[in-house]
Amino acid sequence: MIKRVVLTCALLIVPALAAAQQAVPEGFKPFDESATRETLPAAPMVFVAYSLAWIALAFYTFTLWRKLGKVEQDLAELRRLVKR
Amino acid sequence: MRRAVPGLLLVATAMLAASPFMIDAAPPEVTMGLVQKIFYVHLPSAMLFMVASVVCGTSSAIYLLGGRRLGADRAAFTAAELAIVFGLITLVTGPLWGRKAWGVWWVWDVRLTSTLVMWLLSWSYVLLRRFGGAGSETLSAGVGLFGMALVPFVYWSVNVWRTLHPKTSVVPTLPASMGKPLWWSVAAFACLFAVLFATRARLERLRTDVDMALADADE
Repeated sequence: MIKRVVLTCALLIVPALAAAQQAVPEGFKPFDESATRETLPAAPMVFVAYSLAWIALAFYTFTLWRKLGKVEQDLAELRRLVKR
Repeated sequence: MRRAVPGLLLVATAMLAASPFMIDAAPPEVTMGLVQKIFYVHLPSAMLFMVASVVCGTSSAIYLLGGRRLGADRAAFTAAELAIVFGLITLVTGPLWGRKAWGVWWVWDVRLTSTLVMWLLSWSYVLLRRFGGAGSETLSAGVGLFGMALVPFVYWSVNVWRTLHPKTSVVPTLPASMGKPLWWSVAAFACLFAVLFATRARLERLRTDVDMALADADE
């Protein structure tokens, strides 16, 4: 019986003591910038997104202009042949 | 339209050259920060992806119902190819934004999945035309109609189903400091789209001329 009472008291007191020993923050605490630092940087994402968009548009425009030039050349040649 | 191409190209180039300065001047969004600036290329390309799909579908409908007009077929083919280009930009820039803002590259929600399906339909149209042989014009016109039918579904999906993607209400409620660079980018992309559309359609017309000239030469 005494053992049970001691055990119950110990179970109640130990956490209470532990909680009481925790330091209560007092005064001003400096802002820790490293705690809020983003884990994944945004700048490379933005850079890659814009770069890929421009590369896709430039590549399509370039291939379009090249194909157009070739077809115009073919057509001119064909017209010359037909005239002969 | 052909006469307007050099002027439009000049306007598009000038506007696209000025857009980085306008985007840089726009304030970063409060929760997403710098990565939100992808919005200024993601949204215009998504809008033009939808426009291209609608043009492809409308031209396909004209081709199917209006007596197989060659001009309508050419317009549909051109629009399908541009849908691939602008859809690619949308589908590449979106995950780059999402990885930072949501923590994942991709989620299989309704908006993202239906956009991917719409892009694959544009691919189907172009691949059918290229490798489908004779009669593929009619078949691909049907695919073009399906692509157009998806556009309102893609647009409204964010308002109906739960998704990580921002809703359609974001754009009308943008502050002027973010709205101005956005609409500038949209206008610049629209000018470029018009130039590319006119040029691609001209290429297709010239190819038809070459085929006809070859047929004449054979005779």
